Amino acid sequence: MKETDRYRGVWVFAERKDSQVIKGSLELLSLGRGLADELQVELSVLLMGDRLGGIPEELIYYGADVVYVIENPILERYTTSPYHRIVCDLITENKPEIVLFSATHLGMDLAPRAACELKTGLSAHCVDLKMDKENRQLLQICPYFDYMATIVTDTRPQMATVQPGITSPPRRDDSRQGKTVRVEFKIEPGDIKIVEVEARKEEDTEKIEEADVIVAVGRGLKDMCLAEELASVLGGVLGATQPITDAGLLPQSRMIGQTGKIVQPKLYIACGISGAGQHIVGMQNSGTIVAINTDEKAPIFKVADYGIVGDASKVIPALIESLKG
Amino acid sequence: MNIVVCVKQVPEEIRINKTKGTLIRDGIKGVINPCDKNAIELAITLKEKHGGKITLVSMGPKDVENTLTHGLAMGADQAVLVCDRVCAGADTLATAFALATVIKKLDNVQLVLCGKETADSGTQHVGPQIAHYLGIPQVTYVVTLLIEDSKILAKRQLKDEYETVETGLPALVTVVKGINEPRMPTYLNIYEASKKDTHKWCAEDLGLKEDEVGIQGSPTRITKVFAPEAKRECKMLRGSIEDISGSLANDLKSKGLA
Repeated sequence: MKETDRYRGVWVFAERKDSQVIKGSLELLSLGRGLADELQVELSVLLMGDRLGGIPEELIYYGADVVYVIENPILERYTTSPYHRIVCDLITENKPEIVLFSATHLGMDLAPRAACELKTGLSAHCVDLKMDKENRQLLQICPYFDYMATIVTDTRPQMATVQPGITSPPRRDDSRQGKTVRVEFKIEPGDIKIVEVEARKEEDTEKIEEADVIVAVGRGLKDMCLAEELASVLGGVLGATQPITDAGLLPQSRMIGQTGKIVQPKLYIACGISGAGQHIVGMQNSGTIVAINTDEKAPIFKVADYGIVGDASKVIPALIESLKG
Repeated sequence: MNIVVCVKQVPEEIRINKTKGTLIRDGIKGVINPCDKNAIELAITLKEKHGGKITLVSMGPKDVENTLTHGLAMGADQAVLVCDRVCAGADTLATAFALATVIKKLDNVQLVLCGKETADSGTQHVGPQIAHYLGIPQVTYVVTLLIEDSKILAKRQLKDEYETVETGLPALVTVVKGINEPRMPTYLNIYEASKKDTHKWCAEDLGLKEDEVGIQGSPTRITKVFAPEAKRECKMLRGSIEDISGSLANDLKSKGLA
């Protein structure tokens, strides 16, 4: 028996915000359910916290076969060390072949350290997962600059963090049956003490996630005022790629992409944006996408409905005129 | 209190070798990863207050030395570069292992600082993985940091909240860009930096075995690099700017989008 054959099953880490499982984790249940069915194994969910009430049943309704539940006041709010200990010990004991985390602040704090202790591979910010069924190998598809890369792991478990927003949560079915396994753990508080938690108020009052129209600016447009004028004609707001917010031309809160906001406006106009994978994951689900770029081969055109090859600073004034007319 | 700052050289411009799926580094200038500059700046302000020595630790080809010079010119005291062909092709786990091995060899390191992520691969893995190899706590996404006695008080910037945590030293901290404004070294700083030490260590110097580093020590592999599939049928608008903008404006209006 090969060492990798000792590992069976698909696991999803369920992240909570207070008494709610976050949407990103429900999306993992969609992906995990598909993988588990393909491999003909169980889909298990790992849930930690204090006084979890009906959450385990909810997870079963959303597609889990087994929910491992660890309840302890220490687990009410995430800190690295107790969560890390439980994740590593349960994986070592149960040997799942795949473990998925949402690529949130929590997931990105927990998963790398766990993968390190388990001496296994971890891919980051996956936007798609496929299965090489013959080898039971998880094909982890991640943005790789302007391209996509398929990453595989030869060790087990195969661990991945998945970009939130790349799929939809599964349909809730309250007739689904599953098993809740309560695990007793001796839990130490760990080396990090939470002193204070405060809401993070955005200085920028514009919520670009809720806008119907976004005019997004990339490195290919130098004149921010032009973009602003176009946005105002369309009743929209300004968004940006990372280089623009990094350069301080627009606030951080306007950054669209993997490490920024995921947006789905009715209309998205990409001005001078080449379309790095990191940006595309943040906007590809928009309604109508218009791309203006000087490079005809720019990847942004692959996700656009309308393409204009040209200098955005020349195209925008003409477009403003036509829209007004 | 000795501080280590982990530094990565990233290409100034991203170009991919599509057949090998690797970054093209030849002929492209290497620069210091932007977020790492914030980590160095933080180290300098902590040193000004608490004393100690700042060591930059990096892994990569010989020319990373030039990148490290920038950090030395900002105010770090010395640099260590893990430079060995067997280390090439490392994924995050193998990278973290090599860097942690260096840090273990340095004297009395109380604080390890990393940028939150790198501008090239952006995995955010290496910080927490180094912390694990060192057996010390990690505090990620830090936007303010205070040291009192042998404790740190760190404010973490999360999605919709700030979380302030306390932990003992030694610890590893990853910083977000907003934590400070990195200083620009002057010509005099750069001249002085050229006199500071950059130690080049190979795998053997560190007692690293071939199967622990580089491609062999990496559990993940890239099997394919490909252009994203066209998700939509893109209608390319051609003609004069006036024609293009006119027809686009009409389409948007007819769809109720403008």
